[in-house]
Amino acid sequence: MSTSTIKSRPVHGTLVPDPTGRHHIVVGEGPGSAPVLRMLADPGFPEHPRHVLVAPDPASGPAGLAALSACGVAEIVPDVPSLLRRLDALLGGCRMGTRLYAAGSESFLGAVVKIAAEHGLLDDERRTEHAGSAARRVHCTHCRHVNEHVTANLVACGGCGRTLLVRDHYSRRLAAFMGVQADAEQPGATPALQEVFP
Amino acid sequence: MTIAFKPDETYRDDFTFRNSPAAIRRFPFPFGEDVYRYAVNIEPHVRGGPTAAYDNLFDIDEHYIAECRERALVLAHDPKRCQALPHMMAAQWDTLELLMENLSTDYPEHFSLVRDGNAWHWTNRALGIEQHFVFGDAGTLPCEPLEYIGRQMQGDLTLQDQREDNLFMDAGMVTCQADWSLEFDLGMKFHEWHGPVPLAHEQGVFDRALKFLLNLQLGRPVRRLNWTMTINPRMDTSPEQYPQWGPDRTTITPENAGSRVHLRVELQSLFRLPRSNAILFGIRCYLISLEELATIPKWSRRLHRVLQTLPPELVEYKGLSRFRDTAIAWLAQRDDGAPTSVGTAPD
Repeated sequence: MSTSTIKSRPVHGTLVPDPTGRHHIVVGEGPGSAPVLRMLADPGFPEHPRHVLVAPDPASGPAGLAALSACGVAEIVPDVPSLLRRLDALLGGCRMGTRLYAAGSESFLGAVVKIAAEHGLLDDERRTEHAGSAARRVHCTHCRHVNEHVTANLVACGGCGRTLLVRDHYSRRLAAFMGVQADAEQPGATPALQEVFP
Repeated sequence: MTIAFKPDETYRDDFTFRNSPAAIRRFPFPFGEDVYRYAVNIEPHVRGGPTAAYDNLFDIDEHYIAECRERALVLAHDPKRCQALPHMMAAQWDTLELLMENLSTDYPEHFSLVRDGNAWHWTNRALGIEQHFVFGDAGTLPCEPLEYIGRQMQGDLTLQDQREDNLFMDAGMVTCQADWSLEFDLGMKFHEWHGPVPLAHEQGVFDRALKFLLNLQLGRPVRRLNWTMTINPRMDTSPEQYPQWGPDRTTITPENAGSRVHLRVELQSLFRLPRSNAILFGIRCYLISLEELATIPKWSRRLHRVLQTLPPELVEYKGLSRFRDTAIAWLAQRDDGAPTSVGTAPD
């Protein structure tokens, strides 16, 4: 098993308003508040109906959202889990024409896309922009434990203790990258540790 | 014709799986030339082909009972090897119907199906199973339809839902796979689950294959072959079990290569399903040791030449790096340089 340029890996773009939408939901996490602000300032972005929810990321905390708070255009939610619950409820009541915009860390975008898929939102009904940490959620193929906030190519699995190689293969259903034992063929023969997802 | 099953063979621990001379001759050898490259090598899945493995749409052979027992062992250890998303129930019934119809028609000595409206009576004499059930009512089977019939099949099955001009792998029974995970890939689109495959994306192979499959017609199934190599006759080479089988790759020597290195061939078949409009993907796995293969000189000559010319990306992706040279050396002693005849059939 090798790490390579794998097509299942999510590709993020830039948040721009989708004029075909009739109901807009915008969610942001920490540094994602900057792309959210930029899009809200776009004259093409409708004022109604829309929901804008932003949560602080654990690293920078509420201070990182000062600019957004000052504008008064977004609802500040205490943390990401609360935001995801709100998003789940909002999408549960959404209608045709809903558009979802998300900006934040790789893990945050993964969680948002997973919820969107569970509500049947199509790929072209959502837009994502990466801002902040590239740390990954990593699903251990052997014990199925999900390791949060993985920043290196190798991680000691919190479930089974094996050293996992983090592959680029990504499951939207699990909102996680694949981890497989790095030294299964030859114990101890692991590649060099590299901080690749800061 | 009654098949002489070999019910005590094993695919783990003492690995007593072997191919009889007749099973060797019916092996679906995958290389039509001395060089292998990727291609959308899809052809109609019609009865009849280079060997007897192509005689029926779903091939049952001497390993049937042993392979079903191996599947049950895998499922007992890891029930998530069989999963179906909730919207796939119609496709599950389509699959059960297609398989029961074909098995009972093609192997009447071993299987029978009697239908009275929705009241069905299924008999599998090979495994000693008899089941009365109501078609369409999952409560009348001991488990969901895909698992029920999948436990009585050789080879893996996946079910692809068709929507948004794409195929989604939304169900499967996967216990003898070549290093991919149903639990991880469940719900993925066509290009996503093929994500890890090297070279083929750039060559447009998956774009063409998807376009072709979206137009797959009812009653006109297609097939292709895929291959890799496995150490020992081990069916379960899943990523889940990689810690168990990965070390085998370091154990190959000139002395044991002939008995332990196996060519692993998948006869992959694709069927449009009538009610659900889903696609059934059958992945029927065949294993043959180099020693067994060399009883057909054309095949060992050709495998030798294919391995020598395989692109490095494929050597790495197929996991051959640690033992390819040893296998080539073993095969080289059985390659006299004579030309090989066209096609895959044994001489």
